[in-house]
Amino acid sequence: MGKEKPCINIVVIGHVDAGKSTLSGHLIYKCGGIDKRTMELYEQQSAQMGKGTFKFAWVMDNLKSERERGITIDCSLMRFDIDKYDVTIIDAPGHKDFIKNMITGSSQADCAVLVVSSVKGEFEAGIDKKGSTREHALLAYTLGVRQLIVAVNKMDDEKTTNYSEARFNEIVKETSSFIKKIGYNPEKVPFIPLSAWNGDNMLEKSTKMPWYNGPTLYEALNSIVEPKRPVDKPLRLPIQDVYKIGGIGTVAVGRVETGVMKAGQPVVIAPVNKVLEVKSIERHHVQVDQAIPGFNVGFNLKIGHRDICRGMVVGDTVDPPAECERFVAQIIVVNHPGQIHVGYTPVVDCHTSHIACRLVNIIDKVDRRSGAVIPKDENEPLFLKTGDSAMCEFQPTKPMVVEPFSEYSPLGRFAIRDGGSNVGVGVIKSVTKKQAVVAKKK
Amino acid sequence: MPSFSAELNTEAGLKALNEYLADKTFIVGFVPSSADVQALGLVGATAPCATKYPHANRWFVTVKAYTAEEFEKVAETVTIAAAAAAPAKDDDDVDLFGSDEDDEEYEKQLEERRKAALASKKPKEKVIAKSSIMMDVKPWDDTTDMGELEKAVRSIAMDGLLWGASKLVPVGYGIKKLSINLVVVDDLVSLDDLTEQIEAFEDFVQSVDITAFNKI
Repeated sequence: MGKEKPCINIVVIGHVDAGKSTLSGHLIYKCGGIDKRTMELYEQQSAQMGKGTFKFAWVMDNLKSERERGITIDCSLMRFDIDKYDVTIIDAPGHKDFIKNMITGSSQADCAVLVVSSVKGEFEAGIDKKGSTREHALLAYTLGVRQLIVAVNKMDDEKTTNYSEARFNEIVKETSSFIKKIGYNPEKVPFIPLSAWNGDNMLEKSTKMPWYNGPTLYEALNSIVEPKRPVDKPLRLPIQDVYKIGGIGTVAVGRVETGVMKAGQPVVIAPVNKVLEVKSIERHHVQVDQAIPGFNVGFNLKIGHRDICRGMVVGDTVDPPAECERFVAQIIVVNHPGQIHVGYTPVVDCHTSHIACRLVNIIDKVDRRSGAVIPKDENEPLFLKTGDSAMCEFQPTKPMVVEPFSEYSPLGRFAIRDGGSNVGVGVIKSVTKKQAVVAKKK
Repeated sequence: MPSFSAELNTEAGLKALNEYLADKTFIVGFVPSSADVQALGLVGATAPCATKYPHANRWFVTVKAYTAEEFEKVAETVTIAAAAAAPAKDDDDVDLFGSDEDDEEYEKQLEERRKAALASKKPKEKVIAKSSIMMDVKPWDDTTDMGELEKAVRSIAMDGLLWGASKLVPVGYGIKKLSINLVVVDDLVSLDDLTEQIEAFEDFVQSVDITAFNKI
């Protein structure tokens, strides 16, 4: 796999009508995200239909219907190339399970693109309190997506916007206060007036907005700060699956989140606390000497296949992972019909483990953007409801391995589920590991 | 047009017609129209009795007096007159002291209303939100029959769920996983449910992971 450019993940968020799909589609279309053969086919078809003048619309329609049928295997992964990066773009759906997937799923976004419409009425609706835009932006920030680009779309709208600098400035002002509330620093966020439909300021500078001197969207994407791959950290690899292979023995599969795993090295498996040697590593059926963060690998261990399972974490002996006794996390309640009190025991989805955890203490309610503690009334027990953020302490009901978000972010963020619905999200601030507690007690 | 029963050739029907025409020259309005022709056809060829139904008789004779040609013209005039009537009314309302600005303002208002109408229409025509998802379904070992596994997965049917293309991806040590594409209607399909259903095929499936999740 001779990839030369670093890969980055971008999540596109915004209101339904803001033109997210058009923006994503335009980038994929213009940056070689559609393979040549398909492209030629579309061009032929559109010429036959007499729509040759506006291919883009045709391509968008076709891509959409193709994806709706789901017949091409690659269409659910949207990729394209820019000068500096290999980009995977995630067009955030409104599906309620998406948030959970964003947390436990494979790809942490490196940058978020917030799309807002400049059309009068649409912009206002887009950043409305009830809209999912706020929620997505807040989650992105909470989950550590610190780079943001704001795309002010539909600048070509004839009736209300018409490439007007005044309208753009108005939107920049409003959106700045909006993202500031979430936690972003508006001064570091590029605001780009563009038209995803016409292509103004997408790849090339638009001649219709001479008043704008900033980067195009393409330039802004290129200037995303390259994410640091945590190679130099201790190893962490949550186990996804365990296989028993005849003639080989037990094979575990998972993705390296931090550090490097080398063939022949001793590893610790938590929470069972076994020290074993990695006999060999394979990736895509090819034997490799080592696996770096982001690699999905299988590795051979000398252990009974029933002794390890999904949810366990492989680490090295330097800073070994361990079962946690309790952990403190900042949570945000996204959706709960009533009140949450101490004793509440929802399922916590963290990396590959799903374990019920008991809420043992609501330490403080906090302002979710600043993290500042909200003064509490000593006589009133604290409870949480939708929209609240708080520092809480949890106790897993079964052995579980988690880490502080600041150290090992993929093992430090979780989704809270109750029944079929997503109650909230959280990031772990500190972990009390089991043997540490034991040691203290003695 | 007043509705007459089809039996204008019966005594009862004629009586009703007679009463109706007591204070009217024609069935609709002040000129003959297609309504008259229609009624005439229903009455038949013979005129209603002049003594018994004087008004019906008078109407019959009058309408009969028009030739078909004249009728066409007249009927046309009626529609044109009716069409002309509406704008004519507007003319009466012309505000002599008003300026052109009013018109512009009205245009603006209209535009706004049009927009409002469009906006209120939009949610109704709202496209059903769908997501495109890629899932990895992992077997137990290298001897799991992946064909059977795929068959089992595809046998799951839900409202709003569409299975797409799939392929087998090598993992390592001879193990392959099934990467399958699916399209779901956001409001109908819970992925937790779906994952549980797939994992319920315990003979084949070890675990399920979602690898891509996008809006369509």
